[in-house]
Amino acid sequence: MTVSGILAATTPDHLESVCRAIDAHPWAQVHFTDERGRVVLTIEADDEQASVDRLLEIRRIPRVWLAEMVEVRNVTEEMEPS
Amino acid sequence: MNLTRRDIIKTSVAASVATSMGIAVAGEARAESAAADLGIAWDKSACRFCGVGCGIMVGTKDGKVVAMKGDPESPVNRGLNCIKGYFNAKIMYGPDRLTQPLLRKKDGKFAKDGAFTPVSWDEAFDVMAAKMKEYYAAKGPSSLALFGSGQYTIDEGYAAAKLWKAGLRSNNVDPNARHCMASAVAAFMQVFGIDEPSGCYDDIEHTDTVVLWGANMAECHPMLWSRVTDRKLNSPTMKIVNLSTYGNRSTDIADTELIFKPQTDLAIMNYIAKYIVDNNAANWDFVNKHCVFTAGPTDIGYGLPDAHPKEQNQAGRAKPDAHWQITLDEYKKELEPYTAKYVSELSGVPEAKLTELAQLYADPKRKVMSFWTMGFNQHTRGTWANTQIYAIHLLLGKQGTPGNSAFSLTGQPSACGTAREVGVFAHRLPADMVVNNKAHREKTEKLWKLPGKTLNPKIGTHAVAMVRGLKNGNVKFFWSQVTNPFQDFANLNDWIKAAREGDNFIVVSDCYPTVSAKVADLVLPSAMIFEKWGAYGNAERRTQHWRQQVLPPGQAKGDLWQLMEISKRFTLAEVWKEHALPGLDDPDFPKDQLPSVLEDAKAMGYKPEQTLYDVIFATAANKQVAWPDPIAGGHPNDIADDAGFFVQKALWNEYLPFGQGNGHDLTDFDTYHKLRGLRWPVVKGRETQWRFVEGKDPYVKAGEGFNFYGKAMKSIPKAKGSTEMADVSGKAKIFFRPYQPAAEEPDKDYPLWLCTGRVLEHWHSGSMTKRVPELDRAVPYAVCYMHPADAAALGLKRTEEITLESRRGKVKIRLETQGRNRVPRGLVFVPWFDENCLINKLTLDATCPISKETDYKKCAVKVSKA
Repeated sequence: MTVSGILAATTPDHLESVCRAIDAHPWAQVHFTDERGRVVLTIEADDEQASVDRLLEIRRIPRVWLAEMVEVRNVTEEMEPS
Repeated sequence: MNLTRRDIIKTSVAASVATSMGIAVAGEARAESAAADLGIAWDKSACRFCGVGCGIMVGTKDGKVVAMKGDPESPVNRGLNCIKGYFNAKIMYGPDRLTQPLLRKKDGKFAKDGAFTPVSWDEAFDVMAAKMKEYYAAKGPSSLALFGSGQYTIDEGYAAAKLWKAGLRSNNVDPNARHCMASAVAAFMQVFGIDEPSGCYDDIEHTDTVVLWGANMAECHPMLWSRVTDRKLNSPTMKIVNLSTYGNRSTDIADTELIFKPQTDLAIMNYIAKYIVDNNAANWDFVNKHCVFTAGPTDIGYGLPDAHPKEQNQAGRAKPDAHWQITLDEYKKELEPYTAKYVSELSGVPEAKLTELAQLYADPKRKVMSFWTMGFNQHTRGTWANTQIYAIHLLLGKQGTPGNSAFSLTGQPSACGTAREVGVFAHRLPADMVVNNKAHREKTEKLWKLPGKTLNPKIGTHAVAMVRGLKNGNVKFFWSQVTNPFQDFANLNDWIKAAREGDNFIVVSDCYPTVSAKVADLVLPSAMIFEKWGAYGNAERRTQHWRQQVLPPGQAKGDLWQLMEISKRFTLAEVWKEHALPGLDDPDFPKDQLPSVLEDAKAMGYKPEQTLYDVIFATAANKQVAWPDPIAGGHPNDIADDAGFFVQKALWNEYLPFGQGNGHDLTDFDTYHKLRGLRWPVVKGRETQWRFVEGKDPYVKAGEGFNFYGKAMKSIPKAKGSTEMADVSGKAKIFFRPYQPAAEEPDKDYPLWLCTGRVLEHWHSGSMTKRVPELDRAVPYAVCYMHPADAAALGLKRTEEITLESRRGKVKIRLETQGRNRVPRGLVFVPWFDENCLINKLTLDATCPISKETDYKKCAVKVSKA
């Protein structure tokens, strides 16, 4: 299980629709945005290969001009109940 | 709020990303982020891939690189990584990593037709040295060739150039940057008299207009593209124009896309220049004070072999870089044919779009950045194209001030810092000096403590001539380091055959069993970026150093170590004696001969039995540079352990004086390890963002405004054919260059243009990125992008296997009519990363006659069902 941190960018006037499209994926979650149209989201996936595939899906969302993987964390052990 | 463990981890990852990007984050989320790094040691480094020069943070644990992230303190990428950058951590751990030397042997001895057999380093170097000496004795220094790289670290490139030029007295050292940046270099020297951009990446945040000329930045320079994107998000008036021979991902945020027919960029730039002049939009005050108009020969051929029909009756071939002053009226007259109508017909770009582009450039209220990379550089008129874009910016006075810049991007991480600045070219010495200049040789001999006339004044064999030399027998020994020549040269079939079947010896230093390794006679296993100390110089003149993070696997060793070890096998008596050098014609040297310098060497205290290692590397001064050093902070350095001194720091100290006081100033080794790089010239501890501009560049005096102080090519004839010379010191040159057709164009037999290039997920020949499972799976093989109507006309369907064929070779490849690249009718695009589809078997080895850089963007092909 991995959690990837992604930076995406769109125009401010499309920010809301892009965030809705991202959140429509059950494996993606928008965490932070700013007034310039930047979006910080996370992707959950079984492994890094799957996270790359999902990153490519984010890139295919209309009006997403940029989506780059910044950080990936393997959380298999950490996901055990604490 | 009831947060689950999963929520907390996701929040901490998101907070880490947001903090890196300067996006506001609540305090608790920042704390979660910091707690996640336990057990990993982080250190700053530079990305291994393109010329942007992103700063990265390398995470190591238990002697292995385990994590990677963008460096939030890097002024280049500001914490962001592209997908390749993120996977830097995995490039070293492919299952087929080379870990021991391999020599082709039969019956226990080297044999050209033998099988690869593991050998010791001693046996590898003994056989290699014996072959070098055999050819050196029979055919002299010109028979040995070293093909280096814009991916060499600075110390590696410096060591390679010094060993070859000062030690072996051969100028046959040339980098793969010849395929990448040589046209940019030639134009910098012609226009400004000094190499590398006057502006910097900070121009992006100052500009209103970005024009891409054949540069798909979204895929090839993604982190700079993210800055352009960010600027676009923040500036409602910002305009982006994408000029290309096919539609690509850079068009996605562009305001305008202009698809032009290959080679007609030359005509489009002349149209823009004509528009500026006709509409009196030039900044005449700037032009009159700081520029001169120039032109050069136009019958210069296409860099093909002498016997080729295209090379006949081309008088300008003898000196294609010659140029002379012309008047403004002559310049205007040359531009006259380039009307909107003519250029539109030639290029296929509608007149209205051409005018819109010219207006953007000419608008006095707009700042403009022009970007290019291989679209201009890999061009049979590459030097011309580079000089033309400067002409547009200079006419407008939009050059070198914040937001105004004609900016040459680079493809490799140290094409600038190593190949160009150190002088790993067949004609160059460090800091823009050249081998055929007596004063430059003497300065270099003094700094390197060499006897006079040790350095060879004859320009060596450039990259394309090296492989042609393998074919015609002039090059007998060929060593490549940090590159993959038998995948990256155009017209590959010829060179692979020559290497495998000729009387020659091919050495390939590599990390993986690449195509080149398989072609070699001897394979040397090399260390990779985080397994050695090093420094790269990026496209904005930023020099960045890093520490070694981990040890290389098995017996793999750094390329610097390999150069030092082979140097131990040559004595001064063998190399500094008299040599025959056919073609040497210099007033200070006997004809066709390099003189012995042994007597002068003895007078300087050298002994004939000393090795090149003693004289080139382990000099008395260098051995004083102690290892361990506090700057290492506990990081390893296996090369220094072996040598007994801090080799990389010693070579840096030795290199520094070359650039000081002449516009190339660098600073001390330790300072770079404390910073995220500095842009040269670094004077009194301060970097330079914008060159040639008063108040920004320490070399420009008060009251000058601008001073294009580069010294090269500043004495030129006052007119064509004139023997009277004009001194144009301090000025930049506005060149006129005509449109001329490509070396090979589509015809009835081969009706399509072939353009080659890159994809985001893979870098160059794929030798590293194909070893990263995630990147390999994202783009597992090359496809041939074709217009759907062209495919339909041939009865071909998307994803079916086709045969793509030129006059030189053919490959089988899958057809793609959709996706990220949208090609026009009559053109196909194929990326070159896939070793199972060697597209360079098809490409033509025509070059820019000035820069000697190959045109990988234009040749004629045909397509059929496989």
